Amino acid sequence: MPVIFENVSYTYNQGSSTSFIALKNIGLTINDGDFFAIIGHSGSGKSTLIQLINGLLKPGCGKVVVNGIDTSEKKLKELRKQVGMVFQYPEHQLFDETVFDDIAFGVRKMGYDECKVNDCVNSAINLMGIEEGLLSHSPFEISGGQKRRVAMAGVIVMEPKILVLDEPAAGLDPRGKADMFKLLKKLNKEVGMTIIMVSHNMEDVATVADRVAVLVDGRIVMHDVPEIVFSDKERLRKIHLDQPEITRFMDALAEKTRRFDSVFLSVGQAKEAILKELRTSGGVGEL
Amino acid sequence: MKVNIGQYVVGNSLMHRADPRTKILITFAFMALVLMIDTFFGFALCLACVSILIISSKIGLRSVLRGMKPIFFLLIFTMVINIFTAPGNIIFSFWVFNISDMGIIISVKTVFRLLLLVSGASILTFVTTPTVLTDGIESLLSPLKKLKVPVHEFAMMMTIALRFIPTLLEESDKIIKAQSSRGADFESGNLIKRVKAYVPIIIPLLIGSFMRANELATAMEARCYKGGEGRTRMKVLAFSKNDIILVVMFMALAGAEIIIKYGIKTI
Repeated sequence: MPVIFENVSYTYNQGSSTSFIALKNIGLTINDGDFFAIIGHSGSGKSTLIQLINGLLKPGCGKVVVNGIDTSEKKLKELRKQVGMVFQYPEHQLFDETVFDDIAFGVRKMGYDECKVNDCVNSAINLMGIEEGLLSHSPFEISGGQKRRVAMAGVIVMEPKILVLDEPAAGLDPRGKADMFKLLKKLNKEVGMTIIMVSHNMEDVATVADRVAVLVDGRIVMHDVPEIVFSDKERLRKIHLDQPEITRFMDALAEKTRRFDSVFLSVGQAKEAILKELRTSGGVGEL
Repeated sequence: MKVNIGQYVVGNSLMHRADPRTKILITFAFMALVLMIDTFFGFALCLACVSILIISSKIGLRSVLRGMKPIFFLLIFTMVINIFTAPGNIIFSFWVFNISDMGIIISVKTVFRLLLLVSGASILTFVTTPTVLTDGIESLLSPLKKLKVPVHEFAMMMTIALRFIPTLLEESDKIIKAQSSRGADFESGNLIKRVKAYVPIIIPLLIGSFMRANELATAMEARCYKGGEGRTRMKVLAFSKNDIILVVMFMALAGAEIIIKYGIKTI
């Protein structure tokens, strides 16, 4: 069952002199099993949009329906069980004495018995690739990368059907970033979670997402598969967003050589295409 | 999220531009003056001056009244006590309550006095930013340095504390959202349960603050900060024409009040 936004608007501090319209008339459907990316500049309403999904914010007008639950109804517990929310720098939310207790926080709140809690925590650390030995440590004495995994495990432990992430790769080194996206792909493809990710990094979005929505000043201006969104050079430039580097490179190459007419979103794809072209045309000189 | 600390209203009036030390000293002197006044004419004069200041500095009557809200209960309370307890000619009575003419006069005067005291103090915070205010306090208290009181350090602590209130609010907002997404519940259960529910908020906040304090201390030391000794300022507090005008205006008011109180009888 999908996430549906129907004509949703949201205004901060409504009625006061500091009121600010964050979202205007959002109509959006995110299907089950999608890997959905929301991109836009800071202040474009991305964070507001995702907070509407699990009822942290209630829409000012319109409605948000998640798996058949209207978020303005009082079924927050059920809703939050289905929607896992990973905020930016989730490691800032760690608080308990041991890694185990911290991960178990959510499932204990749901009233599971210790046996079930144990099972849930174990499957969460397996998914996140956290070693069992870490469970008895304090969450404050482990490394930064481990902290983020533990914090995410604390969300995944509730086995949400939809996982919402705000800049999951922020502050990670290139290796950590690659691992993070590999993990998200796995959660999406193998576990079958719907992933909704907010990002302003075009490269990340282009390589992992199935669908992309672009937010500008609280409105959705583009919404399609990444190949189409990232091929619209003119429109992206107008809203001050870049194409991924490899897409720009292949565009420039295509212009020069008058070959390669498709849109390239990953370095791997581009490599294959160039090699193939070299093989058929018989040498570098031709290109 | 936008948070206003104190109640500073942006502006460029005489009061805004004056030196914080002048404003602090005049505020105290004004309060002393208000405590001295005991005639309706005196109160009226003071009230007129305060109104002129509020209008000329463009604070807006609404924000001044909003600032008065916390003392509203106190006002009513003192008024009631005074009305029923002051001696004098009884003009109205029922059951055990007696209302005298003196009682009414005294209670009205007390209300005036309280209103003037509070509005005087709040004008100071309306036209001075918290940081400038701490600068002014530091400068005024600097003679205490001779007695080895760490005045600069206190002022620096106050400035830093004020600076980080919005940051902490933002952070707590974020953590509350993160923990409620994980099923934390702050509204149901008995008192002990509710207090316990805040543990997952307070611990991350404390840890964040310690980390930030540590980083800030390192950053300050890296820029050779070592306390107040030998430290100069980018914005040096300096008296200007504005301060002279303010002082002269206040002297005129004080003079008039003194004449009202002592002069009229002798002249």
